[in-house]
Amino acid sequence: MAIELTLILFFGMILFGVPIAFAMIAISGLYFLMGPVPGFVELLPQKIFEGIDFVILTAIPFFLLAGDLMNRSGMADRLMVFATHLVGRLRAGFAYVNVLASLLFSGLTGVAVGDIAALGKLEVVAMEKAGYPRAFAAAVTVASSLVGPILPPSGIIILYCAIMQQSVGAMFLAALIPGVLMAVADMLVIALQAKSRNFPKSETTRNRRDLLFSTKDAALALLMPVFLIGGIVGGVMTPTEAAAVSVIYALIVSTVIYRALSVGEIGRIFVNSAFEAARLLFMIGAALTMTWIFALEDVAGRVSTVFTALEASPLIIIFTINLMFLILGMFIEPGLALVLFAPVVAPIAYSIGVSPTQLGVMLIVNVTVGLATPPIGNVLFAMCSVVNLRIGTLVHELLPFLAIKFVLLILIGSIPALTTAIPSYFGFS
Amino acid sequence: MRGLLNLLCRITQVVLFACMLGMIVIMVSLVFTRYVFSYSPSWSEEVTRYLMIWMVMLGASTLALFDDHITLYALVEKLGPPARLIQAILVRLIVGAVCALTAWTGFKFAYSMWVVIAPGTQWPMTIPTVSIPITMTLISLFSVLLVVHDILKLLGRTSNVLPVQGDYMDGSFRPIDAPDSD
Repeated sequence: MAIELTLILFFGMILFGVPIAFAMIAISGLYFLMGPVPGFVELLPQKIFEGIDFVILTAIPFFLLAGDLMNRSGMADRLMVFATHLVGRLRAGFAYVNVLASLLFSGLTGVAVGDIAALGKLEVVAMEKAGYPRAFAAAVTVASSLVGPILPPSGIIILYCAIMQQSVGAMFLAALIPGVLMAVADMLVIALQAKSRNFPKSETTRNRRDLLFSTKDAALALLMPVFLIGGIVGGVMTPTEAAAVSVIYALIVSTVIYRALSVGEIGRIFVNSAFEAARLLFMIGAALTMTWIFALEDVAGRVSTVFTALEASPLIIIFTINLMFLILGMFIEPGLALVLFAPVVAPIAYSIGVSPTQLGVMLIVNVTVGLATPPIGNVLFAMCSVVNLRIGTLVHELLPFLAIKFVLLILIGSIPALTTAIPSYFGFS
Repeated sequence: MRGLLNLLCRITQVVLFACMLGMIVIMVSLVFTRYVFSYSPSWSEEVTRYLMIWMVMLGASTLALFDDHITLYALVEKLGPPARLIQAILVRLIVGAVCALTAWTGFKFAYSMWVVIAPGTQWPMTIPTVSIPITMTLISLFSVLLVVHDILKLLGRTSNVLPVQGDYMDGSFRPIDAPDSD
């Protein structure tokens, strides 16, 4: 069976509603049964096993668990209070609070939908009460939630490192500037609209005692990514060990410091995080059956040949890769897009001088922005269901935020220093 | 049947909790023993990996029972209720067939791994690899059950055999108005 037909059938099955993991195993099975060596179908279980048999992947359930523990201990609300104290009194203050809270919260959870679930309704309701249109409040929430998967601890970065064999420490550091720039870009869009749309100033009162308490709360949240990056970059712990230690940290914060969780609740959170990890990692294991087909068919080589034949300039190649992953991010789960297609574009990207960390961050930002890009974006649906909004109304308000992120994507692809400066400073080549 | 499925879900919950806890304890103690006793057990990484594999596979089987794997619902949501049921039946038949094939080949694979010994633990590699066919067998059986459930629903009858997802996990990947498993 030709690779083109394999891909068409795969996307057909996904559109028909076959769970993505099973669609991949089904297509791989069909490919081998109809190919010259049907016996290869017996290797499918081995490929699924190999797809999840990486110790680095254990960091993903740990990050999910640590984030959930911190979230259920009320950390999201506390970060909102801190952000309000910092920027709430500016014009469009609540919109800035929304972005800042998401930036702070990204240090606790590595998923955008996690941010929407934890902060989404709270932020939109608070902004609506303060006089913002609901659609604008939702758009700010969606745009700012995209920082979550970019900044450490990030499950998708771990996944990228596992499949592309990159250093987790280098990737965590490489993602810092683009992650912060995404939040700054959101704030810029808010600032440009604040006066013309007459967004209100918050009437938040602030005294030194409240500020001190909210700073203490925020510090407890911010220490977690600091421990993580410090431990990994300093060579004290492996990324997996650091992720496990972050769970212990989250347990201490939620039980000893905040006394917010009972033993029963902790047990439930453990099991929930295990199910969430199973949902993602089972699909990743299944994806290896398809990447195996891509390797057999030399898809990476074919893509390189196409670009060489077109004599495309590096900028065009970067633009094309950006566009490809943006579109993939709209339709399929970000981690899956990376597992399937990052190895395909890596050789051509490396050949024009893109470094592995730069490519990694560029692809991750692309598939993440794809999450909020119409018509499919998962985050759009999550937001609309949380705040009861029509998707068209949300998309209209979201467009300026998406436009500035597209500009940012081009900048990440064309300015290597954005992703290589910090890793180089810490000695990563 | 419902009692049996509830028991299975409860056992999965306990195993998932134990796997997660075991992974954390091993990884954290690894940091401790390395710095305090200058010693890192050779089996720790392997056991952590195997616990994760069992956790992922068993979790995946229960998620299949609740029809809660990552799926693109964009087009499915546009179907009317009878068309949705027919689509669901077809999807479950595909999933069931694929998993039956993978279960069969998986048992052969796991059996062949009996002679391959993991270097750290000295365990046969059947121990982690058998998780694949066991999971695939469970998913195949669940698919048959869900097909019967859907056919009954299509005929206007109700069946009460499926456990309630909320009893075992919070949240779901399914959008609010997507077809439910109960």
